[in-house]
Order: sequence, then structure tokens, then C-alpha cells
Amino acid sequence: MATVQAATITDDRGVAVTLPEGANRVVAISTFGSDLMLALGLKPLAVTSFGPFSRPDFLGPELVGVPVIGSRAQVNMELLSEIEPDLILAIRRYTEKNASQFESIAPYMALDLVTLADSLRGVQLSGDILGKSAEATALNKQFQQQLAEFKQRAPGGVSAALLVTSSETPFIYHDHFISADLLGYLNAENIGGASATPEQALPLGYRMGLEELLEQDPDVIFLFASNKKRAFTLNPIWPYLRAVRNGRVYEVGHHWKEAAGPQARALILQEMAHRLYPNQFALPALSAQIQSRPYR
Amino acid sequence: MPGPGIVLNEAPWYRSLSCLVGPVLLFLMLLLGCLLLSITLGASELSWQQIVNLFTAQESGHVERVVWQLRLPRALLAAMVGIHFALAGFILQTLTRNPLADAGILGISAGASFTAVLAILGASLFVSGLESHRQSQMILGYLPLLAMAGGVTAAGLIYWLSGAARLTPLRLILTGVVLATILNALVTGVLALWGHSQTEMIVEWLAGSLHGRDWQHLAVLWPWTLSGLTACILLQRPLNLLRLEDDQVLSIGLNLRLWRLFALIVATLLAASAVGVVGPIGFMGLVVPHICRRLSPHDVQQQMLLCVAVGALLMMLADLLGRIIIVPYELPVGVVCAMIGVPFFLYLLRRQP
Amino acid sequence: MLLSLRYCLLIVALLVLLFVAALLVGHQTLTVPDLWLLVQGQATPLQKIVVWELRIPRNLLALLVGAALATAGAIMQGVTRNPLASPGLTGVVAGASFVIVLLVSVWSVDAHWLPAAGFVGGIGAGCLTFYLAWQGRLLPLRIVLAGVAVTALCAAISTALLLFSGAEAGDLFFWLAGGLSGRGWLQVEQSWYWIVFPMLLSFALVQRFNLLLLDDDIARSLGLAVGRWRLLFLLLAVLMTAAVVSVAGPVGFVGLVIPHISKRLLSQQHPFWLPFTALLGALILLCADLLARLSAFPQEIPLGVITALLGGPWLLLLIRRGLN
Repeated sequence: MATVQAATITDDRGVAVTLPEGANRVVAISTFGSDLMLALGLKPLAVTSFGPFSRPDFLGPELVGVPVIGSRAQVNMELLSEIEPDLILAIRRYTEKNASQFESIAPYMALDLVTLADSLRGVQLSGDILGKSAEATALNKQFQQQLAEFKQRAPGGVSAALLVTSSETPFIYHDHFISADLLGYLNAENIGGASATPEQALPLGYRMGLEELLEQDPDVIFLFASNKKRAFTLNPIWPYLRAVRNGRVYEVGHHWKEAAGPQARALILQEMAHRLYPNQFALPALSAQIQSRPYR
Repeated sequence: MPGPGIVLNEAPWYRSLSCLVGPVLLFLMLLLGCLLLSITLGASELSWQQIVNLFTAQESGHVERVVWQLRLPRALLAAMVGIHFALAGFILQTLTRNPLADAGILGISAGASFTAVLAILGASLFVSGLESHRQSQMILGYLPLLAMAGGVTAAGLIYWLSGAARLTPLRLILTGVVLATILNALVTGVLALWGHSQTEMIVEWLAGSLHGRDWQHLAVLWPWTLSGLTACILLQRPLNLLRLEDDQVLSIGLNLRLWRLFALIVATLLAASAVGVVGPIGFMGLVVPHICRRLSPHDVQQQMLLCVAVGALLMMLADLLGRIIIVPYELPVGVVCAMIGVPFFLYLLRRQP
Repeated sequence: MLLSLRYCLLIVALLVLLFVAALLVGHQTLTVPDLWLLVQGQATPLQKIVVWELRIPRNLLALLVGAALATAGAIMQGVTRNPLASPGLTGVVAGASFVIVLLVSVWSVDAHWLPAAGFVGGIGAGCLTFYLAWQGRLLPLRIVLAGVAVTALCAAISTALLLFSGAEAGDLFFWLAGGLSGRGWLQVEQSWYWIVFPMLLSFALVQRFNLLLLDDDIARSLGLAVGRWRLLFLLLAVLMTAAVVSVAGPVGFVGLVIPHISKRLLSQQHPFWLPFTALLGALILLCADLLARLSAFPQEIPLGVITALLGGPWLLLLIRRGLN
């Protein structure tokens, strides 16, 4: 994967990142980096975990054996330095506080990874600096075509909720979070609605009281990955929800949370389309580990 | 009546110094050894040879980075922070005549945590746009100072609420505990409401961690260390007297209020500046003074010197332990301190009649 | 006697009024006629579900939590003769929190088991505190110190676990902030007997309690086995507190402040002082929960924040004036 080629890009901090000799030894901090590199046929030299007890299993077996150098919010700088990378591809929110330490080790590229626009821009910028501009453009183009095609085929008229957490009150994503944004491209209504401050990426959503959930009564509910029975589904109001009565509550894989990567976003779109409109869209072939399944 | 341990007519300075030479040398050796260990051990394995080569300028790149930019500043920072917490705890315990007092009790840690959480969450509000980069970077850069300001404000509030000049040690502690509890509830509440996508970062800070700290943080801290140490030299005699009951102190002719206020300010600044840089670390300020009082039961001067040495030593060891115990992850130094501190505390409790 | 009766009536009246008000307000506001229709069974299905399945159980839980915390606090303060003792003094709250954080972040246990586990953790921490404080007998000061140690240990390990819990950390903070958001019949069923029976027992044993308020020697001269009864009362407080924490999370200041208020209204030696305190606690907590639901609508402020903001300043004032 030798691509000796100088590159300069401006990352999401507005900082110019220059690689005089191209990027050959890349460390991915966040799932996005691994996702993108694998999609471009490259392999990161090291990755980070998202909470030490979990690994991005939707990327398949290709990351097995790639060393883990800490969590995305607490990268082990010594191990990073030992790898002697020539590019650090990182999620901005959790790493910016240590920017100067990263920069002393290798050029550090920080990306915002919240919205669909972030994802498209992030893929292109990363492709540029990795010397795979054309491939990255193709990835984006392919996804945008898919979006347009799905939007045309989706009949609409459904509402949905993306609920995360397992406590007594669920947290629901706003429209600008990429997974929720995809609902719009499938002509479905996100009952989480728009953020009050759309110009800011945060907050990603809010805790929706059960009364409000009952009143909005979405047709389909997607529950984000958690290995256990969620507390709010034990509440007596749960069986009254339309989605529950119709058996349209689905538990989805970890990648729905790390949706900005090119592989993750495509997988989510296909799966979401099928779950919203089972008659129009076929169930994509996914391994049992990451496939969404009816929740009971 | 002054207790038997309180020396009012001190021995000539050279005598107390001369019997200090031995212990001081011992602790210097220990500190140096600890520093060397901190430089040698870590997630990335380096040989002694590589480190020796570093001084003869034969190594560069990785080894140089790890030693000069990661391990050395962290070890030094740990030592300084240890000194800060130990001295602050010592002053507060002496002042309040309460063996359980430390930076947590004056609300300093809670005040600093509150402002730090607000600052981190506030900084994130600017993160979206390109042009806002400078603002968010600025806020994060000033995090140590903001947190310190929060700690100082909380301590000031507690001082005022417990009656300012008319305060009694008991009232000071009660007010401190209550205000700290309020602030901690607010921190948890703010995190529960708005922290959803940033908890990973904030928890690291709240746990008290040296991860990612380097020369920049050292540069923020050293003026406080220096002035704190200087102030402590001035405080030696008054602290010796402040251990007594109020009316006894007055009868000796010490300006009680003034010295007490000064001691409080010194302790507050020492603790708040340390908390600002590394986050709240409990138990160091509690345990180290106890150890020092056991090592030297009578002489305040010796106790303070011991606090400096033992505080630095313990904190360096705690950070080293946290770094190497679960590679590639890290245990925050605050957690390691609690793990060391709680058993010690229980031992003290058992021993007490 | 007449005065206390009047206070009781006033509090009960306020309680009923607040209870009804709390049934009306929420995401969908009901009117009193709506409620009347509901009682007759003629409301819309949505209204029925909201009132029967969400608002009524939540209000009941608020009453239980408030009463339990106030009683536990009153017992704790009386028995240890420490006016700043709180129900969490024996490490119960930190112990329950620790077990729940551990189970959620490491083993991803089903939410169904969490209250039971938290309850056991709270009791365990309480017993550990008693064990550490025990030295032939149970001295109040040693209980405080041992409680501090147990609390600190639990808190430190919880922090470490939170750091490694990744995505669950947000959830855990939601729980750690304390509150009744999303709680319902399930939580009432899981906790009511652990709250009601110890509380009734403590009400029944009021004579022993009043003796324990006195000096140890006086109580002993009046024929009371001080150590044994102190331990029993502390255990009752531990049971109630653990039950509360396991369903509502750590809700601070209620157990600390309410006994002080009720001491002003009614003599502590009054035979109905404990029930009166419980009633007062129920009223205040219902009020606080209503504030939590409404003050940042449609979000909910965690109940722990509201109680800290209401109770904290009050306590500060109390300290400033000088505790008795």
C-alpha cells in the first residue's frame, strides 16, 4: 500500500495537515477510520476501542490481530509513539484535548462525525490524504446514488424512533444525527424531531419521557445495541405502543451508533429500508452477529 | 495548656537542620529512584540501554518522545501534584483540628469539577463550525485555570458562609461538606441532562487523571508550587500555634484571624491549582499528613518537609501503577490513590480506641 | 396536641391537592373534568394509560421514597445523635450505586434485576460499615468514619468502572443523578414492602427510639439495651434507604433536611413525631418531583438536582445559624 505522494488538506478544526510523503502508516482513532480504510482497501496499523469491552464487529475479521492502543477518549500515547505512524486519523470530539501530543507524534487529522454532511466530507478528506481521492469520491457517489434511489422507492407514511440507552427513560436522536437523518431519506418521520440548535452538533438528542413516546406512538422503533433487557421496555406502558403491538421493534447492531463510516452508513440504510418497508426492500445479507432482530 | 508535643521555644535552626540531613538525603534518593522507574517503565518497553543512549544523543524519535515528552513531564507533574495535595491536606487538618480534612472537604474539588464540566460541555457547543475552532481550543486550553477558579470560588463561598472572620473549624467543615454535596449533585445532574455524548471525556477528568498531561500543564502549575512552598515556610510557626484552642492562641498573642485566613488561602490555592491540572484526587491529602505525623510526631517543620517528600513519592508511584497495570488502558491516578488510601484509612480506624 | 393535629391535617390536605395536581400535568395536560370522566371510565384510552400506568404509580413511588428517606434520616440523626447524619451515612447509597454500576458496565445485567442487586449491594455496604465500626459496641463516631471509608471505596471503584463503561456511562449518570423518571408499577411492586414494613416497625417502637435520643447512660439506667436497639434501628434505616436507592437512585438531602423541619413543627419526643416526619417527607418529595417534571419541560431535571437545590441552601442556613 505504498502511495508516496504529498498531500495537504484542511481538517475539521480548520488546521492544514500536510504529509510530505503521503500516508503509509496510519493509526485509526475511532471506528470511522477503520471503516473507511478497510473500504479503501487499506489497513490501519492500530485501532482504538469504543469502551474497552466492545469491538466494532461489523468490520468483520479483518481487524483481528490489529493492536488496540486504548480507547478513543484515552489513547495510549506511548504505544502510539512506538508504532511511529505518519498519519493519525481521529474523531475530533474525543481527541482534540490532546491535539498537541498527537501532533508531536505524527500529523493529526481531526474529523467531526455527527451528520451525513460530516460523513461525506470526512470520507472525501480522508481519501484525499490517503492518496485515494478517486476511490473516496466513488464511495460517496455510490452512496448518494443509493440514497436517491431508495428515496424514490420508499413509499413513506411511517414514523420511527431511534432509541438508545437502557435506563428507565430512553434517549432519542435528533434529525441531524446521521442514522436519524437516513430516516428522512427513506421518507420516514423521525419523532425525535430537529434539534433546537441545529447549528451545533450537540446535543445529539434528548431523553424522551414515556408520556411523550406514548403520544407520538411511532410505527417502528429501533433500539440501539445493548446486551440486556432495557428498563423502559419493562414499563407497563410499553405493550400499548403501536410498534410493540405490531411487532415492529428492532434491536440493531453497534454500527448504528458509529454511522459515519462508508460501510456502516450503507449497511444502516439497507437494513433500515427493509425494516421500515419490508415489502419494498429485501433484507440485506448480514452476518447474524450484526443483523437487526425483532426485540421481545 | 499546650500539649507535650508542642514546642514553643524552638531549637536553633542549625540543630533542627542537622538532624534533617540524613532523612532528606534518604528521601532524595527515593525520589530519584522513583523518577528513574517512572521513566523506564510503561506501556512501551524500553531497555536501560536505550535510555542511557538517550543522554548520549544516540536515540531519537520514539524513545526521545516517550521519555522527554510523555514519561518525564508526567512523573514530574505527579510529584508536584502530590506535594500540593499533601501540603494542602496538612494545613487544613492542622487548621480545622480535624484529621479527616482535605481538599475535598473545603469544596475545592467539587467547585473545580463543576466549572470543569461546564467548560468541557460549553466548549463542545462551539465544535461544529470551522471558524469556531479557536474558541473551543481556547476554552479547553484554559481548562486548568477555569477549574482552579471554580475551586477557589467554592472555597471563598464556604469561608464566607461559615462566618468569615468569625468562623469556627467545625462550622467550616460542615459548610464545606454540604456545599460539596450540592455541587456534586449538580455535576451529576448536568452530566445526566447534557453530557450524553461526552461522558467518556468528562469521566476521565472527574476520576483525576494524568493522561495526556505534558510540559504545558507543568508550566501552568510550577508558579503555584513555588509560591505555595514559600508560603509554607512562612506558615511553619503559626501552624504550630494554630493547633491549639482558640483562646490559648489569643493569649500567646498571635493574630489568629489573619494567620488562619492566610493558611486557608495557601491551602486553597495549592489544592485548587492541582485539581485544575489533574482533576479531583482524594485521599492523598488525607493519608500523607497522617503518615508524616506518625513519622515525626512533634515537629511541624519536619512534618511539612515529610509531606513534600512522601506526597511526591506516593503520587508518582500511584501514577506509575495506573499506567502499567492494565495496558493498553490506564487506571486514573485518582482511583489508584483511593485504592491505596482507603485501606490505610481503615487501618487508622481500627487502631483508634 | 391540638396544634400537631392541625399541622397533620394541613399536610394531608396539601398532599391530596398535590397528588391530584401531579395527575393533571405532564406532556398531555388534563383538566379536573377530564379526571372525573376518567374515574367514571369514559376517558380516551391514551388518558387512561397515562394516568393509571404512568402518573399514579410515579406519584405513589414519590410518596414512598419521600417518607422512607425522611424516616431513615430521622432515625439516623436520632440514633447517632448527629444532626448532620443522612440515610447514606452507613455507605448504603454508595454501595447500591457501586453494585449497579458494576453490573451495568461489566456484565450487562438485565434491567429487571438491577433494583434487587442494588438493594443487596446497599445492605452489604451497610453491614460492612457496621462490621468495620464494631468494637464490642457500636459508637456513633466510628459508624460515621467507617461509613466515610466504605463510601469512598465504593465511589472510587465506581469511577474506574464508569471510565471503562464506554457507551453505558451516559445511562449510568442518568441513574446516578437520581430520579423517578420512567419509574412505574414495577418499581412500586419491587420496593414497597421493604419500605412500608420497616417504617411501620419503627413507628411501633417509638418508645425505644425516644430513649435512644437520650444520653447512653440515662437510657441504660432506664433499662434499655442501648447497643442492641441502636443496631436494630440502624438496620431499619438501612433497609429503607437501600430499597429507595435501588429504585430511585441516590436522591440526596431529603433525609438530611426533613427531620430538621419536622423538629421545628413538632417535639421530637412526641409519639407521632416519626409518622409526622414521614408525611412531611412524602409531601416535599412529591413537590420536588413535580418540579423535576415541569421546570425544564419537555426534558426532566434529575430529582437529585432539585432536592440538592432545595435542601442544600436550607441546610447551609441551618449551619450558619448554629445547629443545636
